[in-house]
Amino acid sequence: MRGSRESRFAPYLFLSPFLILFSIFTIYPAALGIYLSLTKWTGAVGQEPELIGLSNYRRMLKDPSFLKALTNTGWLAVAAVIVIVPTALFLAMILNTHWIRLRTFLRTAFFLPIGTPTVVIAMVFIVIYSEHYGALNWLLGLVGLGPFDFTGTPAFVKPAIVGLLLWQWTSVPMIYFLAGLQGIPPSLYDAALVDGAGPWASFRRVTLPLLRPVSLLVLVLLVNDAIRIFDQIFILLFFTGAPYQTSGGPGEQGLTLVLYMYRSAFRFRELGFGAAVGVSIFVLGLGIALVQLWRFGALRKEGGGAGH
Amino acid sequence: MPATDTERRPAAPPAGSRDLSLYRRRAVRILLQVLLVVAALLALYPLIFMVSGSFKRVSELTSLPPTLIPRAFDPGGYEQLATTGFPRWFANSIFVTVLRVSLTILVSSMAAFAFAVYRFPFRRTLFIIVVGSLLLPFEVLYLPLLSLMIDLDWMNTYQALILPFVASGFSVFVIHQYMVSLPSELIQAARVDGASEWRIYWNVAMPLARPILGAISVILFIQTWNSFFWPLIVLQDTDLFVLPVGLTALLARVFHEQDMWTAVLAGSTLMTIPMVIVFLVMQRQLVAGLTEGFKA
Repeated sequence: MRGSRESRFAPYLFLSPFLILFSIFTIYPAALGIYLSLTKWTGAVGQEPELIGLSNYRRMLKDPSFLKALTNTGWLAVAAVIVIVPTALFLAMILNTHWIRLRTFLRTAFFLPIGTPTVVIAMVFIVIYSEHYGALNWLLGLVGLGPFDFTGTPAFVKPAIVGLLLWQWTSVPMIYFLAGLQGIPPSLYDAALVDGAGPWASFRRVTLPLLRPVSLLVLVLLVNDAIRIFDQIFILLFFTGAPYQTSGGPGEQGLTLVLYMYRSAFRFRELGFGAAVGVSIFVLGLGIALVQLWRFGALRKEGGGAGH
Repeated sequence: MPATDTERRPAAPPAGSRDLSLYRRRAVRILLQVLLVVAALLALYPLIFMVSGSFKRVSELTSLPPTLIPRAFDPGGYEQLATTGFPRWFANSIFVTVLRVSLTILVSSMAAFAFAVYRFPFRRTLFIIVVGSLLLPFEVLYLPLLSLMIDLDWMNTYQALILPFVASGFSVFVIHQYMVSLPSELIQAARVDGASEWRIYWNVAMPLARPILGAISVILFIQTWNSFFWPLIVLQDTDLFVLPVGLTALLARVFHEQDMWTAVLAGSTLMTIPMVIVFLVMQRQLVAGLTEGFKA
């Protein structure tokens, strides 16, 4: 039969454009990245990468700026989770009630950050945070505080970044929580009510346990985004720090891992070193994701996503 | 109605306290309603500020208190923007985004179709490799990719912005999860009718997968329109800039000429418009797609 012969080759024909591009632009660079991380490479014309073993990694681990970038990134990831997850859950729970008014308006307002370009929102926040004409300092001035130079004072840099992230990153977790809440059968709440559980008890015994798979997903996504953060901080701290653009703000308070990679590669022209930073970011992200999945029991056979 | 008030209600309220608890619950609801409206206004504020600021004079933008509606309606920022490379960058962004999203959808849906419909050697292994690539953040690939671009002589080209991203493991995974659930009788029936494999893909599977393709397209659109780091390192020729890089170049000028602020906000507004439109039009599909991917 014509059909059967055709369908023997068909899968490979359908797969080939993907596999060719995937091999060239994902598999090969992944391997090349590991190789480059073992070389000295400046990216200058005619300078071939020269193998130097593990010394990029050794140097990186001894560099105070790398440790700073590591702790800054960890700090931001933890802070983003602590600030964003409760906010998103709170908003989702209220949007999910039967009595809330203006639901469409509220939903659209909370979803809209997804439709706002990252670079744009970071630029707008530069103005909002401005020491001299920013709305935030004006507001604080009304209660007699400030003005503060939010992006120029070491102590304020990280809270300023988290404020931006709260605005930008709450929407997606909220969507996931909303979907999770809608998947909880109302009969469970009725049963809890019959058992004499108050709102707080039914929140703790019904809502939270049933939101576990969604919470895990939200956690993994948020931490993953935090580890990879670059655009927002690059723009927000554009005018701060000595040679602006790549210093990571005052006192390197905004220096994250990807910013450190960018700085090594493009300011210091050490692309091999930058590749080593890249490999480290990958290993770190993978490790953290696996630990999270393991802690939440999603790697066990009957675990995690089974609820939905 | 969980957690609408933090007070623990007694299991069987005595008749007299019923009115009071009802009254209290009403008060809590009004409070939460007000709180949410305030939060929504805070969420909208940066966008309102951006649009309003783009029509202000710089003197008004840089003075306190911040005005919500421009005192003098001044399109100067937009006029100044027109004298920069902005119109060209806008066109570049549209071109790169449309091409990258359509190619990604085409290539990924073909692969997803192959994984979902056929049984062939190494199918599982290949699929695991593709899904495994989801754990590989692109940031990690940027430097080796850059070295590849140099070798291919692709620095400063559009294809450098498009082709490396077309084989998207994420898209294959999500489309595959959707296509697996399509009834196989439909595909068998089409084969019996003498349809070629390509026709089954294009005329049967693709139309049925339209909801998930819509959702993925929005996600890819947002990703591409936002894409900053990669264009920043492969583009040097200002004529080829895409919007995020171009806008950053304008921001750099603010350092010396404060007047550029309104132009930056005007550019920000124009850059946001297509993304917000796509987002609002496709909001339902996007939300469905995000949660669909999660269930899978």
